[in-house]
Amino acid sequence: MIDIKECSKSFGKIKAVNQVSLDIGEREVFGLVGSNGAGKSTLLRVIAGILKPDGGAVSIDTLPVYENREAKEKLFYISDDSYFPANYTSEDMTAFYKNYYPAFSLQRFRQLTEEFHLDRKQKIHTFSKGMKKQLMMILGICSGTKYLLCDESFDGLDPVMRQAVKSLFASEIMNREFTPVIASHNLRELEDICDHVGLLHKGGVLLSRDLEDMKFHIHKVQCVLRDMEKEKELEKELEVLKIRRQGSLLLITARGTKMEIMNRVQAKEPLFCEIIPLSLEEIFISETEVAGYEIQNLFI
Amino acid sequence: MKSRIYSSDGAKAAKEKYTAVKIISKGQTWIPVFFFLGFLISFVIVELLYFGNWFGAVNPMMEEISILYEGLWTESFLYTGFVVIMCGAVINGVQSFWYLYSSRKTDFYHSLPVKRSHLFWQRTGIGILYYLIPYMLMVFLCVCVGAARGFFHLKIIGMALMMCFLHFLLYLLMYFCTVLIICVTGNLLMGALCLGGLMLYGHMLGSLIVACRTIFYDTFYMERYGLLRFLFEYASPFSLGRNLLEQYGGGDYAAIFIAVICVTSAVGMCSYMAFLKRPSESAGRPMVYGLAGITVKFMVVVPCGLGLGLIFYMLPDSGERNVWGIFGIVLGTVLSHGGLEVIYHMNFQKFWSKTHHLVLAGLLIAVCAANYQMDFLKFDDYIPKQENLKAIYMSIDSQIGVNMPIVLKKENGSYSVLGAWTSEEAVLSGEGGVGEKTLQAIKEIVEKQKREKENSSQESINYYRNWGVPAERELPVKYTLKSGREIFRIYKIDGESLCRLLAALYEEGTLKEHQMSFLTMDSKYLTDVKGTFASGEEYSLFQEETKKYEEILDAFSKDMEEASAQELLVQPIAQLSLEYTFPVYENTYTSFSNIVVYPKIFPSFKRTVAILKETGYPISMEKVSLKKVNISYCAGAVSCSDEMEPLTYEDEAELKKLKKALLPSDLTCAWIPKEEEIYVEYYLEGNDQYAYYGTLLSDSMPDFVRKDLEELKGK
Repeated sequence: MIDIKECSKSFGKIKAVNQVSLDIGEREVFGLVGSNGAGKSTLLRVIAGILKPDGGAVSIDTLPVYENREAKEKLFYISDDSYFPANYTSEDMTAFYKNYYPAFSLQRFRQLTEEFHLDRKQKIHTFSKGMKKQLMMILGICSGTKYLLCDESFDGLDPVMRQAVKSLFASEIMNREFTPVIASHNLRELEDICDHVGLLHKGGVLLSRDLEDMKFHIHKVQCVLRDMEKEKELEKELEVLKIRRQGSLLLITARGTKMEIMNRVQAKEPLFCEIIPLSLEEIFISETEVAGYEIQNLFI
Repeated sequence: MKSRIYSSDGAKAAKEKYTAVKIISKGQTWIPVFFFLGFLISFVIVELLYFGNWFGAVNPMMEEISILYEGLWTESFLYTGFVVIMCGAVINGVQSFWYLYSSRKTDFYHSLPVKRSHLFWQRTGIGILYYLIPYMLMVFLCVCVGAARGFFHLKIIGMALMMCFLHFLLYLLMYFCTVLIICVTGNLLMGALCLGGLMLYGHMLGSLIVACRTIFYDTFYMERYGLLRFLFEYASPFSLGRNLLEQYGGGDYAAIFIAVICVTSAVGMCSYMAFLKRPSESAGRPMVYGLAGITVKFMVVVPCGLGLGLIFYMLPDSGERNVWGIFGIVLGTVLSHGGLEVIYHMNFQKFWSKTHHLVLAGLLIAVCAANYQMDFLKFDDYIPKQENLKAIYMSIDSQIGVNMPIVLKKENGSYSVLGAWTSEEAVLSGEGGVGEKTLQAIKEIVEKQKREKENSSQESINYYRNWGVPAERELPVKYTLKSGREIFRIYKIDGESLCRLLAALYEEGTLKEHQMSFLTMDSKYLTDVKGTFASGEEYSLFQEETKKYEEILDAFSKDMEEASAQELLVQPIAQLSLEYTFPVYENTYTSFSNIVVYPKIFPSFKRTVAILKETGYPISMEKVSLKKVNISYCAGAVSCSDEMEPLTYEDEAELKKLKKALLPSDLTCAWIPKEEEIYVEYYLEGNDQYAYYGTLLSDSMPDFVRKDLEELKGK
């Protein structure tokens, strides 16, 4: 488990990460979302042991990460703008990483590069941006580390490749201890892959929730009730996060299971009633609005 | 069985290390290639060139070539290899650590599961491999080439190993300096500036101090000692390395060798710590550590302000020098401070930021400038206390009139001549240290100089600050304190003060011994004796009777021994010219093949004078037949030009009076008062085509000449 306790990091007068506390569990895909400048990359670099936190602590499986080889052997960091030494081919990179990651699987690497149609003997500087991202993903997966830290790694991948990488993650999680941590400013990009999402804003964590848990406990229902009395009763009975009226149609986002909400609505004998699927973005907006933040503009 | 297991593990580890080096070295093979070519040229090619020259000579002597070949290993290879090593160390340091200037690369390398300390030593180790493998190969090849030519013995191997060690030490010094600079700077511009600064700062600051001291201090002597020596000879890795090699060539290198080891260790440790503590996010910042940035700023701004102030101070001929100097100081301080702030922030709008640093630097510069102008630290007045003084040395040269070479006889019977007046054997103080009279004479010189400075006009001070004082009035002095410290001064000195000083040195010091030191040379090497007599003419003496050589040497020795200080400080009546010639390749090998000494003969030297009288040449001006005397006026910057008509005296009565004052130039001595602003040439009866040069004694100068000279000056 990655344990981040009251971690802070400043660059001069700018507080990039401010008293962040997070737990990243095992065998789950953790999404770290936030707008540009929210502190996602800085937090990832702190987790990767590149930056020393000014305050707080970051530990991986109880080991402090900064300047700790043992802890760092458990993670692989993929930067948003990855660097490859000059004139290196994919095979050179494998040899390079094999020095540092003893569990690096050459066989898996060969298999994956073939699946992704990457030429192992081609100089990396001739690769496209997307190909470099794919290569880094493959190298990260083949390194055999428990944690894979990806900074905006899906940016630049086409939908097919994105899907392929997601499948790869799923297969790795199934087969071994593997926890990808994906930082992105795009919630929609993470929606169908993350198990857990942490939202960063201005260096702090707004919320960190399990996605299934959130989806299970927040629902949106649209209904038409017979009179205003019943509407008011329903509003009181439900834990409403958001309520909106479109003519006679009432749109309610409320906390609770599907069954609980539907039972309460049905009890008011509506003329029409149905549950509408909530996007991750909508869940976040609803949650954060409750917390007093207006973050609609944070997401693309 | 165990050993098999261990060897198997060892082989595996070695293979892993080899693979790691191979992978990390990808794309960097040009570095060992650079070293390979560099060492090929600086060792093997140089050796072949030398061999070509030596064996190409007519009748090459193996013994001589063997000595020269050893010189290759103790000198030539050291310097040629040194240049390659310095360049290679910088290249290696930059190649290994300049990823720190890029945020992307820093993230890549610092995210790897490896400790910074391991990263540091891994990169340093690979750099050493790049350097050491080509180096050892080329040195081995060099030894083989020498062996093929017939020069191979253990001594050569020893010298080669010592050279390898010295070069390796210097490689580490330059490498760690480069790494330290990369670790404390965050971008290429600052890195390059700091590296340039590291190489040049000592010389630049030293030159500035020399310029300031030369202009503002009257007693400053341009000799590298103390701080100046440190700045010029030890303040950069290049000069430190060069000095180590120079002193190694000279044989006395233990102190500097230890110093270089200490400096290399210290720089290595600093670079290691700077690397470990360097925050990864500092890539791109001009200076990584705030304190280093401030230190560098003050190290640059203070000399810049002072330097520009000095330039502006020197621009006007007179008058408003101080005003221009202050203007230069302000301009230099503001420009250098602002320039550095712009570089630090990469923003022109930051020119005026950190004004408190600007004010502090300005204050420091003002203090330095005021000290140079007012001499708060009493530089010009400084004379060591007698109880602290161990020895005193002076440059008593031909201008003063006692320039006798100090000849030393070595244990093996050979001779050497002291080249420098500052060397230990040239000490002028006696066994009991520096005597009271000597110190008192120096004090009087200093006080007199101070009084003259106070009395002189600002114009004359400006004149001297621009052009310096006349050379014949300067006496460089070196004080050696009991603490081992050396201090140099140069004094403007007149005849009267010099006379007192020389008298003290004759009485309390070793001046007489120095003047007699040439007598230690075996008289069999004396091949020619000449004499300059009262007429100024030089004659060869005793050509047919060389046994007289010993006679005159013996007479001179006894006369000199018996002479009192006062007797040695009168007007000499003649000068001998004694030439000693030595066979070059003999057991009594000397550092010179011939030497000529010019001892002066004083009236009290009865034995010597008696021998000289036998020659019949005139030892008094009374016996010289003058035909004509020309006197020209020349003073200060006004040189004796052909355009100015000289005063000419041909009248017998005038010439008779002139004889009392006339002195041939070879017999002049600085302690005898003579007319300074005239130039005299005279002609002898029967030889009126040839002009002799001389001067006139102040005490006996005829009134008519003085009157004529006044008229000439008026014109």
